[in-house]
Amino acid sequence: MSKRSTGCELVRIEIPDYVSDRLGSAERQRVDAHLLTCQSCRSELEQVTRLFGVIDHAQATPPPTHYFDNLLPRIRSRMSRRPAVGIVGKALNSRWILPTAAALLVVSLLVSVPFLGDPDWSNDAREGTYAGDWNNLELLDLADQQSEHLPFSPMIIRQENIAHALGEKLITDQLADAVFAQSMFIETVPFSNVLAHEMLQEMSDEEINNVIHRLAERTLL
Amino acid sequence: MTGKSDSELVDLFRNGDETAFNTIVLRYQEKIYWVVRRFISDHDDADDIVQEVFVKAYEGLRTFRGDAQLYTWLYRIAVNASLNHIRLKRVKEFFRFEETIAPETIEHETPDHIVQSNEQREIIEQAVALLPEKQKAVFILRHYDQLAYEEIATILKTSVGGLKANYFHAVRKVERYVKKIHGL
Ligand SMILES: [Zn+2]
Repeated sequence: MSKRSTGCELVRIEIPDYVSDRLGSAERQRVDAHLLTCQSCRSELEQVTRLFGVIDHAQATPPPTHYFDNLLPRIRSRMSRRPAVGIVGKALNSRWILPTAAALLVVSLLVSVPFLGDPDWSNDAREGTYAGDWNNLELLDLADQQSEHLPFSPMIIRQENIAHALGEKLITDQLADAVFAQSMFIETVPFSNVLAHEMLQEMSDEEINNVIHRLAERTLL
Repeated sequence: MTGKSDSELVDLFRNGDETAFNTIVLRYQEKIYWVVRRFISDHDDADDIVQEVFVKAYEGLRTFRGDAQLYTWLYRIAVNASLNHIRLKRVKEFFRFEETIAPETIEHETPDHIVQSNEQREIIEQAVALLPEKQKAVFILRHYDQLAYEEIATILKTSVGGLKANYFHAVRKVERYVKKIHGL
């Protein structure tokens, strides 16, 4: 029995290519020979044939007429509009100051709560770049001011994290990390930090507040 | 210019000939559009991604390795851009500022309703959308683009072994989904 089922498995994975006529002649003959003696593989063949028929019949709607005539100029114009800065550069926008400071506080909580299977926060090339040559009291003031804008409380302020507030870039990196970490809950998608960055850049302040809220919800409740 | 090979075009472009890039776009725009459309069924979203693919290609062509095939490289950019779009969308849905009906929810509706409101094409799009990433990519590249397994392996930066099985499992899942919804 195991011999037979192995034979079937080997044949079955060839069936889609068999139906599309994309097998070499030796493979094809092997499948043909097996099909003569195996009812269940024949029925697999029928199903795949029917499916491919449906797929071929169900054509996707074509793009608008002249779409391809106009694509190149549109690509060219998009390239000319593109500022010559990378992702990080674009994130350093003034509208980030408030939300990122707010995000910092949430992120500092995220970092302090091991909510995920130990994300490797420590192994981080950024570490050391925010060494504190700032007055800690100034930092606490800054954090207090920003926390008024937060939609939730209480807030635990950790000095080592406050230092992040100094650099918007660092904070957006952190927020991106946090978003990235949260996305692991959704599915095991290889969602990258760069992608998280991209997403954050596209968002309005309101949306960023949503994210902060949502992160807080997930972590604190 | 249209008679030039891909590698000739790449060389010309790297030597400052902008029109070589135009030829590359014109040569591959339809293929790239369609591979993106298989991942992203919405035309407007696909259009945005296609433009992005060529902008990325333009930026990347300077560092493009001559030993790679231009089209597999373009496909790779297109597949990654499409998968990223899907991931981003999923994350946005998770953060609740993009309310859309996830394909998963469709399964819970009654088949009658589905049959009435959807064409076969939509059912197939849903089935493909539900596939795991790798199976989805293999299914699209193999079935729609008719690429060889070796080419698919290059595009996905994976080994050839197992791709046939990935394809078979994808076909089978699509088949089961269509059967369940459509009673095929
Ligand atoms: Zn069999």
